Amino acid sequence: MIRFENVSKSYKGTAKALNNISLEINKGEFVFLVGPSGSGKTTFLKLLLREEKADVGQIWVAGRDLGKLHHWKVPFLRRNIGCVFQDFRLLPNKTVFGNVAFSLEVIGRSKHVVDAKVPQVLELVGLSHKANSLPNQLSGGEQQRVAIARAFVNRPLILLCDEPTGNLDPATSQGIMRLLDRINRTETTVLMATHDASIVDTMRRRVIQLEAGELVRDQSRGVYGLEDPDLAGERLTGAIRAVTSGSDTDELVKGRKRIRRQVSDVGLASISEEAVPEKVD
Amino acid sequence: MLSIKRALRDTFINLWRNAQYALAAVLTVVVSLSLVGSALVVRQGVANATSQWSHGVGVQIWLNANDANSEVSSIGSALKASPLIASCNYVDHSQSYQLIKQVFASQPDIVNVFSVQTSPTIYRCVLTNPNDAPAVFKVFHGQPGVRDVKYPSQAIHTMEQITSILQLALLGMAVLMLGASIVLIFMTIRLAIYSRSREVSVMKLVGATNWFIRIPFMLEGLFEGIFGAVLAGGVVFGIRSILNSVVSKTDALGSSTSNGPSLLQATVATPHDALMSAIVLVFVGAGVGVFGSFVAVRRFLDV
Ligand SMILES: Nc1ncnc2c1ncn2[C@@H]1O[C@H](COP(=O)(O)OP(=O)(O)O)[C@@H](O)[C@H]1O
Ligand SMILES: [Mg+2]
Repeated sequence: MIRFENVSKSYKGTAKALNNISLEINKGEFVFLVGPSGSGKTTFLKLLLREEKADVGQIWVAGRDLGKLHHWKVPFLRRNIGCVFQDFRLLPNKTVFGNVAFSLEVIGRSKHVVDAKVPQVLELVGLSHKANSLPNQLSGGEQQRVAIARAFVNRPLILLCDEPTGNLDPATSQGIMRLLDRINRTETTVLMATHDASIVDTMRRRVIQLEAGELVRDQSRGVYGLEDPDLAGERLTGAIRAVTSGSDTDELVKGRKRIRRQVSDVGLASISEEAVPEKVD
Repeated sequence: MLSIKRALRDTFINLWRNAQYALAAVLTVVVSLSLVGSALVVRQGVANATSQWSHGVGVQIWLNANDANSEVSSIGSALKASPLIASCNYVDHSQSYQLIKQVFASQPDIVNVFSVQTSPTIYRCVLTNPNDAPAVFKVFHGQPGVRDVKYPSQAIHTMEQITSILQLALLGMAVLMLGASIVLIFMTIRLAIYSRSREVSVMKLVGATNWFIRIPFMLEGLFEGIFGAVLAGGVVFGIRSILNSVVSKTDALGSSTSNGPSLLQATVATPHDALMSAIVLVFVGAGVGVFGSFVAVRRFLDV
Protein backbone atom coordinates (compact mmCIF):
# COMPACT_ATOMS: atom_id res chain seq x y z
CA MET A 1 0.00 0.00 0.00
CA ILE A 2 2.81 2.40 0.95
CA ARG A 3 6.48 1.97 0.15
CA PHE A 4 9.38 4.32 0.82
CA GLU A 5 12.70 3.62 -0.84
CA ASN A 6 15.66 5.65 0.39
CA VAL A 7 13.56 8.75 0.73
CA SER A 8 15.15 12.02 1.83
CA LYS A 9 13.53 15.39 2.11
CA SER A 10 14.86 18.74 3.23
CA TYR A 11 13.18 22.10 3.22
CA LYS A 12 14.91 25.20 1.97
CA GLY A 13 17.67 26.20 4.33
CA THR A 14 17.07 23.50 6.94
CA ALA A 15 18.71 20.26 7.86
CA LYS A 16 17.13 17.09 6.50
CA ALA A 17 13.54 16.67 7.67
CA LEU A 18 13.71 13.04 6.56
CA ASN A 19 16.89 11.14 5.85
CA ASN A 20 17.11 7.95 3.82
CA ILE A 21 13.87 6.35 4.94
CA SER A 22 12.94 2.93 3.58
CA LEU A 23 9.90 1.06 4.77
CA GLU A 24 6.78 -0.67 3.65
CA ILE A 25 3.27 -0.55 5.03
CA ASN A 26 0.77 -3.15 3.93
CA LYS A 27 -2.88 -2.89 3.22
CA GLY A 28 -4.96 -2.94 6.39
CA GLU A 29 -2.11 -2.21 8.79
CA PHE A 30 -2.43 0.17 11.72
CA VAL A 31 0.80 2.09 12.17
CA PHE A 32 1.87 4.67 14.73
CA LEU A 33 4.41 7.24 13.66
CA VAL A 34 6.12 8.48 16.79
CA GLY A 35 8.94 10.82 17.64
CA PRO A 36 9.48 14.20 19.22
CA SER A 37 8.33 17.44 17.71
CA GLY A 38 10.31 18.29 14.59
CA SER A 39 11.35 14.70 13.95
CA GLY A 40 9.65 14.64 10.56
CA LYS A 41 6.27 12.98 11.17
CA THR A 42 4.21 15.63 9.42
CA THR A 43 6.70 15.73 6.57
CA PHE A 44 6.25 11.99 6.18
CA LEU A 45 2.49 12.41 5.86
CA LYS A 46 2.85 15.35 3.47
CA LEU A 47 5.01 13.26 1.18
CA LEU A 48 2.27 10.64 1.02
CA LEU A 49 -0.24 13.30 -0.01
CA ARG A 50 2.19 14.80 -2.53
CA GLU A 51 1.89 18.10 -0.67
CA GLU A 52 5.67 17.86 -0.75
CA LYS A 53 7.92 15.98 -3.11
CA ALA A 54 10.85 13.83 -2.03
CA ASP A 55 14.29 15.16 -2.95
CA VAL A 56 15.73 11.68 -3.26
CA GLY A 57 14.20 8.23 -3.37
CA GLN A 58 10.91 6.80 -4.44
CA ILE A 59 7.51 6.70 -2.78
CA TRP A 60 4.78 4.34 -3.84
CA VAL A 61 1.22 4.84 -2.67
CA ALA A 62 -1.59 2.53 -3.79
CA GLY A 63 0.47 1.41 -6.75
CA ARG A 64 1.46 4.90 -7.89
CA ASP A 65 4.99 6.22 -8.07
CA LEU A 66 4.50 9.68 -6.57
CA GLY A 67 7.66 11.08 -8.12
CA LYS A 68 6.24 10.39 -11.58
CA LEU A 69 2.67 11.34 -10.80
CA HIS A 70 1.43 14.18 -13.00
CA HIS A 71 0.47 17.37 -11.26
CA TRP A 72 -3.13 17.07 -12.47
CA LYS A 73 -3.42 13.52 -11.15
CA VAL A 74 -2.61 14.49 -7.57
CA PRO A 75 -6.29 15.16 -6.70
CA PHE A 76 -7.13 11.62 -7.77
CA LEU A 77 -4.39 10.27 -5.51
CA ARG A 78 -5.88 12.24 -2.63
CA ARG A 79 -9.32 10.74 -3.20
CA ASN A 80 -7.77 7.49 -1.94
CA ILE A 81 -6.34 9.08 1.18
CA GLY A 82 -8.35 10.50 4.06
CA CYS A 83 -6.77 13.05 6.40
CA VAL A 84 -7.43 13.99 10.00
CA PHE A 85 -5.61 16.74 11.88
CA GLN A 86 -5.11 17.92 15.41
CA ASP A 87 -7.11 21.10 14.72
CA PHE A 88 -10.08 19.32 13.04
CA ARG A 89 -10.20 21.80 10.10
CA LEU A 90 -13.98 21.86 9.86
CA LEU A 91 -15.79 24.59 7.98
CA PRO A 92 -17.42 26.71 10.68
CA ASN A 93 -20.37 27.86 8.57
CA LYS A 94 -21.44 24.37 7.53
CA THR A 95 -23.37 21.86 9.61
CA VAL A 96 -22.00 18.45 10.51
CA PHE A 97 -23.85 17.01 7.55
CA GLY A 98 -22.63 19.85 5.32
CA ASN A 99 -19.02 19.36 6.33
CA VAL A 100 -19.10 15.66 5.53
CA ALA A 101 -21.13 16.17 2.34
CA PHE A 102 -18.65 18.83 1.19
CA SER A 103 -15.90 16.30 0.61
CA LEU A 104 -18.16 14.30 -1.70
CA GLU A 105 -19.64 17.32 -3.47
CA VAL A 106 -16.30 18.80 -4.43
CA ILE A 107 -15.21 15.60 -6.12
CA GLY A 108 -18.37 15.70 -8.18
CA ARG A 109 -20.49 13.06 -6.43
CA SER A 110 -24.19 13.35 -7.10
CA LYS A 111 -26.71 14.47 -4.50
CA HIS A 112 -28.05 10.96 -4.56
CA VAL A 113 -24.69 9.54 -3.46
CA VAL A 114 -24.23 12.30 -0.88
CA ASP A 115 -27.63 11.65 0.66
CA ALA A 116 -26.90 7.94 0.86
CA LYS A 117 -23.34 7.99 2.16
CA VAL A 118 -23.29 10.85 4.65
CA PRO A 119 -25.90 9.46 7.07
CA GLN A 120 -24.12 6.11 6.91
CA VAL A 121 -20.79 7.50 7.98
CA LEU A 122 -22.38 9.75 10.62
CA GLU A 123 -23.93 6.64 12.04
CA LEU A 124 -20.50 4.99 12.09
CA VAL A 125 -18.94 7.86 14.07
CA GLY A 126 -22.00 8.07 16.31
CA LEU A 127 -23.13 11.56 15.38
CA SER A 128 -26.41 10.94 13.55
CA HIS A 129 -28.24 12.99 16.13
CA LYS A 130 -25.95 16.00 15.59
CA ALA A 131 -26.20 16.11 11.80
CA ASN A 132 -27.64 19.61 11.82
CA SER A 133 -25.36 21.12 14.45
CA LEU A 134 -22.63 23.59 13.62
CA PRO A 135 -19.05 22.74 14.62
CA ASN A 136 -18.98 25.38 17.35
CA GLN A 137 -21.89 23.60 19.05
CA LEU A 138 -19.85 20.42 19.41
CA SER A 139 -17.23 19.21 21.88
CA GLY A 140 -13.66 18.67 20.68
CA GLY A 141 -14.16 14.92 20.52
CA GLU A 142 -17.31 15.32 18.48
CA GLN A 143 -15.59 17.71 16.12
CA GLN A 144 -12.83 15.21 15.59
CA ARG A 145 -15.43 12.53 14.86
CA VAL A 146 -16.90 14.79 12.20
CA ALA A 147 -13.44 15.25 10.73
CA ILE A 148 -12.96 11.48 10.69
CA ALA A 149 -16.35 11.05 9.05
CA ARG A 150 -15.34 13.56 6.40
CA ALA A 151 -12.07 11.77 5.79
CA PHE A 152 -13.71 8.36 5.64
CA VAL A 153 -16.95 9.03 3.79
CA ASN A 154 -15.35 8.40 0.41
CA ARG A 155 -13.95 5.07 1.69
CA PRO A 156 -10.27 5.86 1.22
CA LEU A 157 -7.67 3.11 1.12
CA ILE A 158 -5.52 4.98 3.61
CA LEU A 159 -6.38 7.18 6.56
CA LEU A 160 -3.66 9.59 7.69
CA CYS A 161 -4.01 11.13 11.13
CA ASP A 162 -1.63 13.85 12.26
CA GLU A 163 -1.85 13.97 16.04
CA PRO A 164 -5.62 13.51 16.01
CA THR A 165 -5.84 13.35 19.80
CA GLY A 166 -3.47 16.25 20.40
CA ASN A 167 -6.27 18.57 21.50
CA LEU A 168 -8.36 16.02 23.38
CA ASP A 169 -8.46 14.74 26.93
CA PRO A 170 -7.50 11.08 27.55
CA ALA A 171 -11.03 9.72 27.83
CA THR A 172 -12.11 11.40 24.61
CA SER A 173 -8.92 10.26 22.93
CA GLN A 174 -9.76 6.68 23.78
CA GLY A 175 -13.09 7.03 22.04
CA ILE A 176 -11.35 8.40 18.96
CA MET A 177 -8.90 5.50 19.03
CA ARG A 178 -11.74 2.99 19.21
CA LEU A 179 -13.23 4.65 16.16
CA LEU A 180 -9.93 4.53 14.27
CA ASP A 181 -9.56 0.90 15.23
CA ARG A 182 -13.00 0.19 13.84
CA ILE A 183 -12.13 1.94 10.62
CA ASN A 184 -8.91 -0.05 10.44
CA ARG A 185 -10.94 -3.25 10.65
CA THR A 186 -12.64 -2.32 7.35
CA GLU A 187 -9.28 -3.01 5.66
CA THR A 188 -8.40 0.68 5.71
CA THR A 189 -4.73 1.30 6.29
CA VAL A 190 -4.37 3.74 9.19
CA LEU A 191 -1.20 5.76 9.73
CA MET A 192 -1.24 7.95 12.80
CA ALA A 193 1.43 10.41 13.88
CA THR A 194 1.28 10.97 17.61
CA HIS A 195 2.94 12.17 20.76
CA ASP A 196 0.60 10.32 22.99
CA ALA A 197 2.55 7.52 24.69
CA SER A 198 -0.39 6.04 26.57
CA ILE A 199 -2.38 5.55 23.38
CA VAL A 200 0.48 3.83 21.62
CA ASP A 201 1.11 1.68 24.67
CA THR A 202 -2.50 0.52 24.96
CA MET A 203 -3.04 -0.10 21.26
CA ARG A 204 0.08 -2.22 20.77
CA ARG A 205 0.36 -1.79 17.04
CA ARG A 206 3.26 -1.34 14.70
CA VAL A 207 5.39 1.62 15.73
CA ILE A 208 7.66 3.59 13.46
CA GLN A 209 9.87 5.98 15.34
CA LEU A 210 11.63 8.97 13.85
CA GLU A 211 14.40 11.03 15.42
CA ALA A 212 15.59 14.12 13.60
CA GLY A 213 14.51 12.67 10.29
CA GLU A 214 16.07 9.24 10.85
CA LEU A 215 14.10 6.04 11.11
CA VAL A 216 15.27 4.68 14.49
CA ARG A 217 12.74 1.95 15.14
CA ASP A 218 10.19 -0.08 13.25
CA GLN A 219 8.53 -2.52 15.55
CA SER A 220 5.39 -4.54 15.31
CA ARG A 221 3.12 -4.28 18.36
CA GLY A 222 5.43 -1.78 20.00
CA VAL A 223 5.13 0.85 22.68
CA TYR A 224 5.73 4.57 22.50
CA GLY A 225 9.23 4.64 23.97
CA LEU A 226 11.83 1.95 24.17
CA GLU A 227 12.22 0.90 27.80
CA ASP A 228 15.49 0.60 29.62
CA PRO A 229 16.68 -2.89 28.51
CA ASP A 230 17.91 -3.88 31.99
CA LEU A 231 14.57 -3.04 33.54
CA ALA A 232 12.77 -4.85 30.74
CA GLY A 233 14.95 -7.90 31.25
CA GLU A 234 14.17 -7.92 34.97
CA ARG A 235 10.46 -7.78 34.26
CA LEU A 236 10.85 -10.54 31.74
CA THR A 237 12.46 -12.89 34.21
CA GLY A 238 9.77 -11.97 36.73
CA ALA A 239 7.11 -12.85 34.26
CA ILE A 240 8.71 -16.12 33.29
CA ARG A 241 9.01 -17.09 36.97
CA ALA A 242 5.32 -16.33 37.42
CA VAL A 243 4.41 -18.53 34.49
CA THR A 244 6.56 -21.47 35.51
CA SER A 245 5.46 -21.43 39.15
CA GLY A 246 1.82 -20.63 38.58
CA SER A 247 -0.80 -23.33 38.77
CA ASP A 248 -3.91 -21.26 38.08
CA THR A 249 -4.66 -21.16 34.32
CA ASP A 250 -5.75 -17.57 34.59
CA GLU A 251 -2.39 -16.65 36.07
CA LEU A 252 -0.70 -18.62 33.33
CA VAL A 253 -2.47 -16.74 30.54
CA LYS A 254 -1.74 -13.37 32.11
CA GLY A 255 1.86 -14.30 32.61
CA ARG A 256 2.33 -15.35 29.03
CA LYS A 257 0.82 -12.11 27.82
CA ARG A 258 3.23 -10.20 30.00
CA ILE A 259 6.14 -12.13 28.61
CA ARG A 260 5.09 -11.34 25.09
CA ARG A 261 4.79 -7.68 25.85
CA GLN A 262 8.14 -7.48 27.56
CA VAL A 263 9.82 -9.35 24.76
CA SER A 264 8.42 -7.13 22.08
CA ASP A 265 9.30 -4.06 24.15
CA VAL A 266 12.96 -4.85 23.96
CA GLY A 267 12.63 -5.31 20.22
CA LEU A 268 12.81 -9.06 20.22
CA ALA A 269 9.55 -9.57 18.43
CA SER A 270 10.84 -12.59 16.59
CA ILE A 271 11.82 -14.35 19.77
CA SER A 272 8.45 -13.75 21.32
CA GLU A 273 6.82 -16.14 18.88
CA GLU A 274 9.07 -19.01 19.95
CA ALA A 275 9.30 -18.13 23.61
CA VAL A 276 5.60 -18.20 24.21
CA PRO A 277 3.47 -21.08 23.02
CA GLU A 278 0.77 -19.76 20.72
CA LYS A 279 -2.11 -21.92 21.86
CA VAL A 280 -2.61 -20.60 25.34
CA ASP A 281 -4.19 -17.26 24.43
CA MET B 1 -25.00 19.19 -12.76
CA LEU B 2 -24.36 19.56 -9.08
CA SER B 3 -20.96 20.99 -9.92
CA ILE B 4 -22.28 23.67 -12.24
CA LYS B 5 -24.94 24.75 -9.79
CA ARG B 6 -22.37 24.72 -7.05
CA ALA B 7 -19.88 26.79 -9.04
CA LEU B 8 -22.52 29.39 -9.81
CA ARG B 9 -23.74 29.49 -6.25
CA ASP B 10 -20.20 29.89 -4.94
CA THR B 11 -19.60 32.67 -7.43
CA PHE B 12 -22.58 34.65 -6.24
CA ILE B 13 -21.85 34.02 -2.59
CA ASN B 14 -18.36 35.37 -3.19
CA LEU B 15 -19.66 38.40 -5.02
CA TRP B 16 -22.05 39.10 -2.19
CA ARG B 17 -19.39 38.69 0.49
CA ASN B 18 -16.99 41.01 -1.28
CA ALA B 19 -19.69 43.35 -2.50
CA GLN B 20 -17.72 46.55 -1.96
CA TYR B 21 -14.64 45.35 -3.76
CA ALA B 22 -16.70 43.79 -6.51
CA LEU B 23 -18.50 47.10 -6.94
CA ALA B 24 -15.23 49.00 -7.20
CA ALA B 25 -13.97 46.52 -9.77
CA VAL B 26 -17.17 46.73 -11.79
CA LEU B 27 -17.10 50.53 -11.72
CA THR B 28 -13.56 50.75 -13.05
CA VAL B 29 -14.53 48.31 -15.76
CA VAL B 30 -17.48 50.56 -16.62
CA VAL B 31 -15.31 53.68 -16.80
CA SER B 32 -12.53 52.07 -18.81
CA LEU B 33 -14.83 50.33 -21.23
CA SER B 34 -16.92 53.47 -21.68
CA LEU B 35 -13.73 55.17 -22.81
CA VAL B 36 -12.88 52.29 -25.12
CA GLY B 37 -16.44 52.35 -26.44
CA SER B 38 -16.36 56.10 -27.03
CA ALA B 39 -13.12 55.76 -28.94
CA LEU B 40 -14.64 53.01 -31.07
CA VAL B 41 -17.77 55.01 -31.77
CA VAL B 42 -15.86 58.16 -32.68
CA ARG B 43 -13.64 56.17 -35.01
CA GLN B 44 -16.66 54.57 -36.63
CA GLY B 45 -18.36 57.94 -37.00
CA VAL B 46 -15.34 59.49 -38.66
CA ALA B 47 -15.03 56.52 -40.98
CA ASN B 48 -18.68 56.97 -41.91
CA ALA B 49 -18.26 60.67 -42.56
CA THR B 50 -15.09 60.20 -44.57
CA SER B 51 -16.58 57.55 -46.78
CA GLN B 52 -19.69 59.63 -47.30
CA TRP B 53 -17.75 62.67 -48.41
CA SER B 54 -15.09 61.00 -50.41
CA HIS B 55 -17.26 58.44 -52.15
CA GLY B 56 -20.68 59.98 -52.20
CA VAL B 57 -19.80 63.54 -53.16
CA GLY B 58 -16.27 63.70 -54.44
CA VAL B 59 -15.58 66.88 -56.38
CA GLN B 60 -18.06 69.59 -57.19
CA ILE B 61 -17.44 71.72 -60.25
CA TRP B 62 -19.39 74.95 -60.06
CA LEU B 63 -20.14 76.60 -63.37
CA ASN B 64 -20.88 80.23 -64.15
CA ALA B 65 -24.58 80.81 -63.96
CA ASN B 66 -25.01 82.35 -67.38
CA ASP B 67 -22.78 80.11 -69.39
CA ALA B 68 -23.60 78.95 -72.83
CA ASN B 69 -24.69 75.34 -73.23
CA SER B 70 -21.69 74.58 -75.37
CA GLU B 71 -19.27 75.33 -72.55
CA VAL B 72 -21.32 73.25 -70.16
CA SER B 73 -21.26 70.26 -72.46
CA SER B 74 -17.57 70.61 -73.32
CA ILE B 75 -16.74 70.57 -69.63
CA GLY B 76 -19.10 67.63 -69.30
CA SER B 77 -17.32 65.65 -71.99
CA ALA B 78 -13.91 66.58 -70.58
CA LEU B 79 -15.08 65.18 -67.23
CA LYS B 80 -16.30 62.03 -68.90
CA ALA B 81 -13.00 61.57 -70.71
CA SER B 82 -10.92 62.05 -67.60
CA PRO B 83 -9.64 58.77 -66.15
CA LEU B 84 -9.65 60.37 -62.69
CA ILE B 85 -13.40 60.60 -62.67
CA ALA B 86 -15.77 57.70 -62.32
CA SER B 87 -19.08 59.43 -62.95
CA CYS B 88 -20.79 62.80 -62.74
CA ASN B 89 -24.27 64.08 -62.40
CA TYR B 90 -25.40 67.48 -63.51
CA VAL B 91 -27.34 69.83 -61.25
CA ASP B 92 -29.15 72.24 -63.57
CA HIS B 93 -30.42 75.74 -62.83
CA SER B 94 -33.77 74.73 -61.39
CA GLN B 95 -32.33 71.93 -59.23
CA SER B 96 -29.63 74.28 -58.05
CA TYR B 97 -32.24 76.90 -57.15
CA GLN B 98 -34.21 74.29 -55.20
CA LEU B 99 -31.04 73.43 -53.34
CA ILE B 100 -30.40 77.05 -52.46
CA LYS B 101 -33.95 77.45 -51.23
CA GLN B 102 -33.52 74.32 -49.12
CA VAL B 103 -30.18 75.22 -47.60
CA PHE B 104 -31.08 78.80 -46.83
CA ALA B 105 -34.69 78.15 -45.91
CA SER B 106 -34.31 80.17 -42.76
CA GLN B 107 -32.62 83.07 -44.54
CA PRO B 108 -34.96 84.41 -47.22
CA ASP B 109 -32.59 87.41 -47.83
CA ILE B 110 -30.04 85.10 -49.36
CA VAL B 111 -32.59 83.13 -51.36
CA ASN B 112 -33.92 86.39 -52.78
CA VAL B 113 -30.55 87.20 -54.32
CA PHE B 114 -30.94 84.15 -56.59
CA SER B 115 -33.37 83.23 -59.26
CA VAL B 116 -33.61 80.04 -61.34
CA GLN B 117 -31.50 81.77 -64.03
CA THR B 118 -28.78 83.05 -61.70
CA SER B 119 -28.36 79.87 -59.68
CA PRO B 120 -25.01 78.26 -60.49
CA THR B 121 -25.11 74.86 -62.17
CA ILE B 122 -22.90 72.12 -60.74
CA TYR B 123 -21.26 68.91 -61.87
CA ARG B 124 -21.09 66.57 -58.85
CA CYS B 125 -18.48 63.97 -59.60
CA VAL B 126 -17.42 60.74 -57.97
CA LEU B 127 -13.70 60.07 -58.33
CA THR B 128 -12.09 56.79 -59.25
CA ASN B 129 -9.74 57.38 -56.38
CA PRO B 130 -10.90 59.84 -53.69
CA ASN B 131 -7.29 60.94 -53.15
CA ASP B 132 -7.13 62.42 -56.67
CA ALA B 133 -9.36 65.35 -55.73
CA PRO B 134 -6.43 67.84 -55.79
CA ALA B 135 -5.43 66.64 -59.28
CA VAL B 136 -8.98 67.12 -60.57
CA PHE B 137 -8.91 70.56 -58.98
CA LYS B 138 -5.77 71.45 -60.89
CA VAL B 139 -7.16 70.30 -64.23
CA PHE B 140 -10.50 72.08 -64.07
CA HIS B 141 -9.83 75.12 -61.93
CA GLY B 142 -9.70 78.25 -64.09
CA GLN B 143 -11.04 76.64 -67.25
CA PRO B 144 -13.53 78.78 -69.13
CA GLY B 145 -17.00 78.52 -67.68
CA VAL B 146 -15.77 77.06 -64.38
CA ARG B 147 -16.44 79.30 -61.43
CA ASP B 148 -14.95 77.10 -58.76
CA VAL B 149 -13.85 73.53 -57.99
CA LYS B 150 -14.67 72.33 -54.49
CA TYR B 151 -13.57 69.21 -52.76
CA PRO B 152 -13.82 68.28 -49.09
CA SER B 153 -10.36 66.88 -48.55
CA GLN B 154 -9.17 69.76 -46.47
CA ALA B 155 -12.16 69.55 -44.19
CA ILE B 156 -11.81 65.82 -43.90
CA HIS B 157 -8.13 66.09 -43.24
CA THR B 158 -8.69 68.55 -40.42
CA MET B 159 -11.45 66.45 -39.00
CA GLU B 160 -9.37 63.33 -39.17
CA GLN B 161 -6.55 65.02 -37.36
CA ILE B 162 -8.80 66.25 -34.60
CA THR B 163 -10.50 62.92 -34.18
CA SER B 164 -7.32 60.91 -34.28
CA ILE B 165 -5.98 63.02 -31.43
CA LEU B 166 -9.27 62.54 -29.63
CA GLN B 167 -9.18 58.82 -30.26
CA LEU B 168 -5.62 58.57 -29.11
CA ALA B 169 -6.44 60.42 -25.91
CA LEU B 170 -9.50 58.26 -25.31
CA LEU B 171 -7.60 55.06 -26.03
CA GLY B 172 -4.70 56.13 -23.85
CA MET B 173 -6.99 56.76 -20.92
CA ALA B 174 -8.87 53.59 -21.72
CA VAL B 175 -5.69 51.52 -21.59
CA LEU B 176 -4.77 53.03 -18.22
CA MET B 177 -8.22 52.36 -16.89
CA LEU B 178 -8.22 48.85 -18.31
CA GLY B 179 -4.98 48.24 -16.44
CA ALA B 180 -6.66 49.58 -13.32
CA SER B 181 -9.66 47.31 -13.81
CA ILE B 182 -7.47 44.26 -14.23
CA VAL B 183 -5.67 45.15 -11.00
CA LEU B 184 -8.95 45.71 -9.17
CA ILE B 185 -10.44 42.44 -10.37
CA PHE B 186 -7.20 40.75 -9.39
CA MET B 187 -7.53 42.23 -5.89
CA THR B 188 -11.18 41.24 -5.44
CA ILE B 189 -10.37 37.69 -6.48
CA ARG B 190 -7.40 37.61 -4.16
CA LEU B 191 -9.67 38.71 -1.35
CA ALA B 192 -12.21 36.06 -2.30
CA ILE B 193 -9.50 33.43 -2.25
CA TYR B 194 -8.29 34.52 1.18
CA SER B 195 -11.77 34.65 2.60
CA ARG B 196 -12.35 31.08 1.44
CA SER B 197 -8.92 29.69 2.21
CA ARG B 198 -10.32 27.13 4.66
CA GLU B 199 -12.69 25.76 2.09
CA VAL B 200 -9.98 25.75 -0.53
CA SER B 201 -7.59 23.82 1.69
CA VAL B 202 -10.26 21.23 2.49
CA MET B 203 -11.09 20.92 -1.19
CA LYS B 204 -7.45 20.28 -2.02
CA LEU B 205 -7.20 17.74 0.75
CA VAL B 206 -10.18 15.66 -0.31
CA GLY B 207 -9.08 15.68 -3.93
CA ALA B 208 -11.12 18.31 -5.74
CA THR B 209 -9.51 18.95 -9.12
CA ASN B 210 -7.63 22.17 -9.72
CA TRP B 211 -10.16 23.46 -12.18
CA PHE B 212 -13.00 22.65 -9.88
CA ILE B 213 -11.38 24.88 -7.28
CA ARG B 214 -10.45 27.61 -9.73
CA ILE B 215 -13.63 27.96 -11.71
CA PRO B 216 -15.84 29.75 -9.17
CA PHE B 217 -13.16 32.41 -8.73
CA MET B 218 -12.66 32.80 -12.45
CA LEU B 219 -16.41 32.99 -12.98
CA GLU B 220 -16.50 35.76 -10.43
CA GLY B 221 -13.93 37.75 -12.41
CA LEU B 222 -15.70 36.96 -15.67
CA PHE B 223 -18.99 38.09 -14.24
CA GLU B 224 -17.55 41.37 -12.97
CA GLY B 225 -15.97 42.04 -16.36
CA ILE B 226 -19.12 41.31 -18.33
CA PHE B 227 -21.39 43.18 -15.96
CA GLY B 228 -19.15 46.25 -16.20
CA ALA B 229 -19.04 45.89 -19.99
CA VAL B 230 -22.81 45.78 -20.31
CA LEU B 231 -23.11 48.94 -18.23
CA ALA B 232 -20.40 50.56 -20.37
CA GLY B 233 -22.35 49.56 -23.49
CA GLY B 234 -25.31 51.43 -22.05
CA VAL B 235 -23.10 54.46 -21.45
CA VAL B 236 -21.91 54.35 -25.07
CA PHE B 237 -25.49 54.24 -26.33
CA GLY B 238 -26.33 57.14 -24.07
CA ILE B 239 -23.41 59.23 -25.31
CA ARG B 240 -24.35 58.47 -28.91
CA SER B 241 -27.93 59.58 -28.52
CA ILE B 242 -26.94 62.75 -26.64
CA LEU B 243 -24.46 63.61 -29.40
CA ASN B 244 -27.11 62.85 -31.96
CA SER B 245 -29.63 65.20 -30.47
CA VAL B 246 -27.04 67.98 -30.02
CA VAL B 247 -25.93 67.61 -33.65
CA SER B 248 -29.50 67.57 -34.95
CA LYS B 249 -30.09 70.90 -33.25
CA THR B 250 -26.96 72.57 -34.58
CA ASP B 251 -27.73 71.20 -38.04
CA ALA B 252 -30.44 73.80 -38.42
CA LEU B 253 -27.59 76.33 -38.57
CA GLY B 254 -26.88 75.01 -42.00
CA SER B 255 -24.06 72.72 -42.94
CA SER B 256 -26.34 70.26 -44.64
CA THR B 257 -26.20 69.22 -48.24
CA SER B 258 -29.20 68.17 -50.20
CA ASN B 259 -28.70 64.45 -49.95
CA GLY B 260 -27.76 62.51 -46.86
CA PRO B 261 -26.72 63.76 -43.46
CA SER B 262 -24.25 66.59 -42.98
CA LEU B 263 -20.59 66.01 -42.26
CA LEU B 264 -21.21 66.75 -38.61
CA GLN B 265 -24.17 64.47 -38.45
CA ALA B 266 -22.26 61.70 -40.15
CA THR B 267 -19.69 61.77 -37.37
CA VAL B 268 -22.36 60.54 -34.98
CA ALA B 269 -22.21 56.78 -35.15
CA THR B 270 -25.40 54.98 -36.03
CA PRO B 271 -27.18 52.85 -33.42
CA HIS B 272 -25.85 49.87 -35.33
CA ASP B 273 -22.27 51.09 -34.81
CA ALA B 274 -22.98 51.61 -31.14
CA LEU B 275 -24.35 48.08 -30.88
CA MET B 276 -21.25 46.68 -32.57
CA SER B 277 -19.06 48.61 -30.16
CA ALA B 278 -21.08 47.31 -27.22
CA ILE B 279 -20.53 43.75 -28.40
CA VAL B 280 -16.80 44.40 -28.66
CA LEU B 281 -16.93 45.83 -25.14
CA VAL B 282 -18.56 42.72 -23.73
CA PHE B 283 -15.73 40.62 -25.14
CA VAL B 284 -13.09 43.02 -23.84
CA GLY B 285 -14.82 43.03 -20.45
CA ALA B 286 -14.91 39.25 -20.37
CA GLY B 287 -11.23 39.18 -21.28
CA VAL B 288 -10.33 41.67 -18.55
CA GLY B 289 -12.31 39.68 -15.98
CA VAL B 290 -10.84 36.34 -16.92
CA PHE B 291 -7.31 37.70 -17.12
CA GLY B 292 -7.44 39.49 -13.76
CA SER B 293 -8.95 36.51 -12.00
CA PHE B 294 -6.68 34.00 -13.71
CA VAL B 295 -3.58 35.81 -12.51
CA ALA B 296 -4.99 35.94 -8.97
CA VAL B 297 -5.92 32.28 -9.07
CA ARG B 298 -2.48 31.34 -10.36
CA ARG B 299 -0.74 33.37 -7.70
CA PHE B 300 -2.82 32.74 -4.64
CA LEU B 301 -4.64 29.48 -5.11
CA ASP B 302 -1.50 27.40 -5.49
CA VAL B 303 -3.21 24.47 -7.14
N1 LIG C 1 7.48 24.21 5.43
C1 LIG C 1 8.65 24.05 6.06
N2 LIG C 1 9.70 24.85 5.76
C2 LIG C 1 10.88 24.67 6.37
N3 LIG C 1 11.12 23.75 7.29
C3 LIG C 1 10.13 22.92 7.66
C4 LIG C 1 8.84 23.04 7.06
N4 LIG C 1 8.04 22.08 7.59
C5 LIG C 1 8.80 21.42 8.47
N5 LIG C 1 10.04 21.92 8.52
C6 LIG C 1 11.14 21.41 9.34
O1 LIG C 1 11.28 20.04 9.06
C7 LIG C 1 11.51 19.32 10.26
C8 LIG C 1 10.44 18.27 10.44
O2 LIG C 1 9.20 18.88 10.69
P1 LIG C 1 7.82 18.12 10.82
O3 LIG C 1 7.74 17.13 9.74
O4 LIG C 1 6.75 19.12 10.92
O5 LIG C 1 8.00 17.37 12.21
P2 LIG C 1 6.91 16.83 13.21
O6 LIG C 1 5.60 16.74 12.51
O7 LIG C 1 7.46 15.52 13.63
O8 LIG C 1 6.86 17.77 14.35
C9 LIG C 1 11.56 20.34 11.37
O9 LIG C 1 12.90 20.65 11.62
C10 LIG C 1 10.85 21.53 10.81
O10 LIG C 1 11.37 22.70 11.34
MG1 LIG D 1 3.76 17.63 13.08
